[in-house]
Amino acid sequence: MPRAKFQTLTEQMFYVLLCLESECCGTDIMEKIRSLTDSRVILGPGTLYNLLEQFVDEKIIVETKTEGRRRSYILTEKGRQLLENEYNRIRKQADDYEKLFREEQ
Amino acid sequence: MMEEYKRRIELFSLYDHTNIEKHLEKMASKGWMIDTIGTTLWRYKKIEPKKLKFSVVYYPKEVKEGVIISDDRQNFIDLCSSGGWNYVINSGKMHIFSTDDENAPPIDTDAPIQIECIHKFAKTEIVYGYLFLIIACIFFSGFIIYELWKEPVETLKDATPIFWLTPVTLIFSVFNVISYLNWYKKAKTAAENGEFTNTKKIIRFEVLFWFPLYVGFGLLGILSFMRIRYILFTLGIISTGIILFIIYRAINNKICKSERKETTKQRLRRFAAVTLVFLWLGSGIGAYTAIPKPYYKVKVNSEFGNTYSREVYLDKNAPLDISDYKETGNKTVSCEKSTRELLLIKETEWKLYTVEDEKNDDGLFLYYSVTDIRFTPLLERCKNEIIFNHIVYESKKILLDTDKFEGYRYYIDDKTPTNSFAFCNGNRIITVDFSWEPSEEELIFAAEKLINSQNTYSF
Repeated sequence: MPRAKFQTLTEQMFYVLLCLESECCGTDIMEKIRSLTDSRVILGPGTLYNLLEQFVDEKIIVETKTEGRRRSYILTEKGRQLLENEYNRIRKQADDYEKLFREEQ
Repeated sequence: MMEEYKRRIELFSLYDHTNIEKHLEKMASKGWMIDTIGTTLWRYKKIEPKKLKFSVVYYPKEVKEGVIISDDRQNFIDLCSSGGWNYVINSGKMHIFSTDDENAPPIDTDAPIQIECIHKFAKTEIVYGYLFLIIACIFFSGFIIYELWKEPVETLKDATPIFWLTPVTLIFSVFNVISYLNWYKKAKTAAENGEFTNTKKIIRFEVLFWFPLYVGFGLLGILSFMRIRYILFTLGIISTGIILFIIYRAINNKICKSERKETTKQRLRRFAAVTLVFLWLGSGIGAYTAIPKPYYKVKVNSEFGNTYSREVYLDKNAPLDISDYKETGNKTVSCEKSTRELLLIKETEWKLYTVEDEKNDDGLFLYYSVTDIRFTPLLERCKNEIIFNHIVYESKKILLDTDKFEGYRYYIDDKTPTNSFAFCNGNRIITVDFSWEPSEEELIFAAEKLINSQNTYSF
């Protein structure tokens, strides 16, 4: 995937990174996203597999341990920065929205 | 209990996940679970009919066949299992999962990632596969074109159905590659907007053409000495049989969905029976048309005192007869005609000879051939082949008291003339063999008759 693609994150990417704030394995990520978003965001296992591979390649996350076939990952500094940038971007969008609609009221 | 299997020819393109999923769902509801996937032959295992949801996904990394599932691929499979999907089988990078949970989330929830995986798969397994096929076809066509250039008449006369199947295979292969690339372009644009694009059903028809190609090769070996229409007839009828059988089976499957279930053995037996009947019909009709008719046999006394039988052909309407030149009296004249016709060239050959007791036989014969070249650019090449570069003889131009056509005489070496001649007029090339040395008038008479004769072809 081209690097430019991670400049802004899709909703699914955002939640995967969010879950990896603490060490987590693939199965847990799917579960966590479901409970966190109340099943609003659904992440398919195939998509998750590909995202994890790409994040590792880009050093956004790092593999921490392998128990049997279970692999766990955690955010790197780069990943943390990426997540924070995304949060600020969304936050700014929300602020702008509020600014405009509140002023109207 | 013995496990029951059934095999089916499936012509899916392997990237066509939408239709493969639909198809597998249908099969499962009829009680057949996919078991192995071959190039065209897929095997299904008997199960209790049930409603299952299938998902075809493409693993993004290399898969080495025959090696125990790598940890990484197992990780991929485990992840999908934890999402509620059971691993069924894989064919290379293509993995098939099924679930009975209607609400299981799809395996792919991100369109661009899905397209990327499909394209990685398609690039190696489909596009390169077709490229190989296309290169093979181009190479083969190239070879035929070279042969055509060198010896157009011989090549076209003995051209087999392979000649025509190669371009057909090529067209289908190119069409399939283009269809895929077209789909990929569309799907990629849609994926940028987060939309998934279903794949279209593209049947790999070229596979159907490879089959007659093999049959053609086989038949060619046995029948190369026969006429082209024999082979065409046989092939045509076999193909018709196979097509009818496929249609029949499709209709049959639709009508009696659950009432009649055939075992694989029964199916094979019926397939073999239908193929045999058509093969037999094809050979019969082919053989019937291949025999020059009508003919009968006569007993001839040889110069050594014994007798043997000789065929007498009674083809009518020979444009040139021995009796035009010689007194044949009450001698029987055998007249055999054979025609080979293809799109670009038509050749008719006549063989006339007197059938008499060899003891008294003066051995009169008159052989001639009329070749019409319908594709003018080939004319010079054909003249080269028939007249100038003759395998055995050398040719020399002869001067005749006419400017209507060119005349040539064949020589064994520079000095020894034969009684074989060739004439050219427009797109027509004529060869004549006499059993005697003809005078100039006799030559002109033969050439004029043959130049003006009709070279019609009748089945």
